[in-house]
Amino acid sequence: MALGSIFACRNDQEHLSHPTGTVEGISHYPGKAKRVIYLHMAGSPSQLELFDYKPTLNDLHGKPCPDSLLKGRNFAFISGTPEMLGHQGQFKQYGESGAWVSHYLPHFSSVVDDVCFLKAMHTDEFNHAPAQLFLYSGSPRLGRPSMGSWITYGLGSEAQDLPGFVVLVSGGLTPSAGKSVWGSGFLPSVYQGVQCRSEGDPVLFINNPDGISRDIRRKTIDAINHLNKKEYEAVGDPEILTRIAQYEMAFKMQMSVPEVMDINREPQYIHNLYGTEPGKASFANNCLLARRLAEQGVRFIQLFHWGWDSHGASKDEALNGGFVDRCREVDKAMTALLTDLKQRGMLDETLVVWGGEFGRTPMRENRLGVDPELIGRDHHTDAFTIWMAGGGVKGGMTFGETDEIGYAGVKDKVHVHDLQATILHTLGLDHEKLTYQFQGRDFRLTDVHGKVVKPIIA
Amino acid sequence: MVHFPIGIIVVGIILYYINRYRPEWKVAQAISPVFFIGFVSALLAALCGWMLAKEGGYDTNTLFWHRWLGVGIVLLSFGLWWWHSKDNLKPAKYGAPLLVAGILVTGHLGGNLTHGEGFLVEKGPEFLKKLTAYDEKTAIPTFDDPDSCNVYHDLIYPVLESKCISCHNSKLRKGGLDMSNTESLMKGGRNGEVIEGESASSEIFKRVVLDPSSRKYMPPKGTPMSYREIKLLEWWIDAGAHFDKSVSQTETPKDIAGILLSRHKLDITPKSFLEKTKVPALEDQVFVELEKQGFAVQPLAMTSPFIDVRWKRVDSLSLSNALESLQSMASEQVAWLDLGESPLSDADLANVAKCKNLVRLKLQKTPVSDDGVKILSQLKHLESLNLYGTKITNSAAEHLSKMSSLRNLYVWQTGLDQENAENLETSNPDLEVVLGVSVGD
Repeated sequence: MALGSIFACRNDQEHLSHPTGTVEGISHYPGKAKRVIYLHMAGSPSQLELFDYKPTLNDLHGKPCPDSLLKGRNFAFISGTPEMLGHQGQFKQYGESGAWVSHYLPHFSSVVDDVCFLKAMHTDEFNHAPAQLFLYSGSPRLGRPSMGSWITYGLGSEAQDLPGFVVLVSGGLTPSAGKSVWGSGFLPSVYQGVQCRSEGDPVLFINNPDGISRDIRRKTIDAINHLNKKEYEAVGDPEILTRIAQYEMAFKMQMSVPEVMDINREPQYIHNLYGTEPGKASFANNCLLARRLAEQGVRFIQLFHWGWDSHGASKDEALNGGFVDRCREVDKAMTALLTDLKQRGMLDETLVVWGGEFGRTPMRENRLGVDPELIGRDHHTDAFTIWMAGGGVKGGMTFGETDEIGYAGVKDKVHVHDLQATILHTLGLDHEKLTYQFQGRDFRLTDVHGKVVKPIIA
Repeated sequence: MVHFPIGIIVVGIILYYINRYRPEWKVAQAISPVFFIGFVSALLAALCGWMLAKEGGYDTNTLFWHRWLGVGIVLLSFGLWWWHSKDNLKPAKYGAPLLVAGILVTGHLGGNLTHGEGFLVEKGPEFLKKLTAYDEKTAIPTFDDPDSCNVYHDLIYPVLESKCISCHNSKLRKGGLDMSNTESLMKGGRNGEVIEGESASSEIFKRVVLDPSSRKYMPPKGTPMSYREIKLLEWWIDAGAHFDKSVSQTETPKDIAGILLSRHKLDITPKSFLEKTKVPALEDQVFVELEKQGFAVQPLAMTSPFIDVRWKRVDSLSLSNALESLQSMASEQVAWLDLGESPLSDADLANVAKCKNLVRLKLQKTPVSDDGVKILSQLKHLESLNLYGTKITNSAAEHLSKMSSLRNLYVWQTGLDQENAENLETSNPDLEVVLGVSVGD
């Protein structure tokens, strides 16, 4: 039976108490992964500076881009005839698997044998917000549930005192698509992502106001829940049940969140490993938090790190500017996350995914009126690289290949919907069966598309 | 075209019987014209059928009977009209039932000709299928275990039986070939062996892939071998034409794997230990009871009887008692067990070790010692063992080396050193021992 049809009747309260008590959902088949940590590089890093090594592109550096690559195409900013742009990084092969990594990621190159690279990713959207929505909700327009919501809806959460879907943002800006990329769409709102902060209060207003004790708070919530129950009995709106559950969860989070979010509790060697500085909103802190949340059984942990949109339009948005800083910010931390999960025996059951919402062009962006010293690439839908590690995917593997200048995938192409299907698969969820009925039809994350990338499944 | 005469003749016969038993209804005058129309339309239908048969492509045996019974019906319907119009009612007494029977048989044969043999049962209600054992006779056998599915006896022989053995059996021996048993099949026919080396040089394969118009094409009549049947035959011959090997013992290319899956529902993708192992599913009551004892229990999947069990670390509950219950209620079903950061004693591990189908075991940050690992070494299917932060030392290596299924071993922050870790990896090439980063860094 489809999971969705079970949960469609979940609105009655009996169903919320599964005989196993803690977790509502059961996977369709045994999955290797129990949870996902998604490291999203918002703005989309250049695959041509990090992983997709193309010597031919270096040979063509500075030559005008052939017409055949431009005809009938729209780019976000490129106009006229741009020049080809060679790699800015120096590439070498690493590990037993011989994966290509540039000098921008010196730490990461030591763990490539645990990583599976998907080098011929492609998407349909060439602007940030729609592309991010497309990646996380399967549709470039607003209104669909995000991947983390689908997964917590499908599997429930092992965390008793924490939300099943937690979001951590660094880099100074929320993603272009806003909070919709962790919204629950038409799923009950109990499945939406909860944003926690690594600077200041981890969740806004988590502390009781002055003069309110925990006992008084408990009594207040009991009274509100009592009223809400009466309201539910009268009108039967399932969102009221969500509201009751959220009050309870918020009350538990007042205790659990400050504890789990306090990275001061970690020993010094862990801080050294990640490069963390407690109290800051940094990607490193968020990586360490991701591990701590994973240990508590949180199902889907979504990190966003802003600042990868290297058009070359300003110093901070240039391959020879901000891009280098971004690499430094993520390299040590993401490597530490893999190492730390592994030594704790958690990498086997935690799928870590890294990537942007699209790729960048092999051509140099030619925007007028910008400093000619600044180098950049435009948005590109035809080819980008993401990597996955841990739960259920093969380590030390490179899947997919682009042409000799990295313009488009030529072998084992993976579409965004295929990626979504594959992530669900590692968790034991069948993307065709994880459905929810809304406005008269069944919806799913992959809409009517998506094929599991079987060759990378361990 | 053919349904009209059937209908009109039956109407005529009904009228005939009405007239016989209820003459007061006054239908007598209608009988003769109806019989006449029946005869004319039957004649037209027969002529049409005769011409259609010339196009060929019909089963010759069925066609023979359909044709001559059809002619019989035309003659009989003419006779009925003739005698009836002469007021000779005697012949109709015997002719009418005969004609009804004739129409039934001829019509059914005609149906078989146009819609295929057995169409009536195929499309008919369930009870008819059961009555005629239709499914058992025609259904292609399905299998679920590539270990127990014999390539020749389960997959190839049924094809030979339906397409070859009606002529090449111990009685008929067409061409001197008897394919009904393995010895005579290998012996071959009058012109020598029919299976020699690979498929391309074997007569049995060459004959079924010839141009169908060739005199030597097999089978000479009836349904030819299907593409999939030919592919399976080719696969079996090229694999050495063996009689005693199962599917899992035979190398299977991708296209054959596809045929096995779609034709025989046989999935040959390698299965994990848990997928292969069958244990009874637990009652809901067991989940509730284990939950009470302090475990979080979750089925591994909807389709799996195995469970994922996690100690919830509730201080007021006794882990020893809980493990005792777990072992007594679900020793076969526990596949994943997480007892991390619990006050687990070596004695408790005896109960853990009784969960013989354990695949993943997490004992991180527990007081487990080398003696405890010795107890665990009887877990033959354990693939992942987390011992990080435990009290184990290099002496545990001896016991760990006995766990042949082990793939992942976590020994960060323990007394097991790099040298022993490497030795373990050397003795078990599938094993990865994770030592983690040095804490002193």
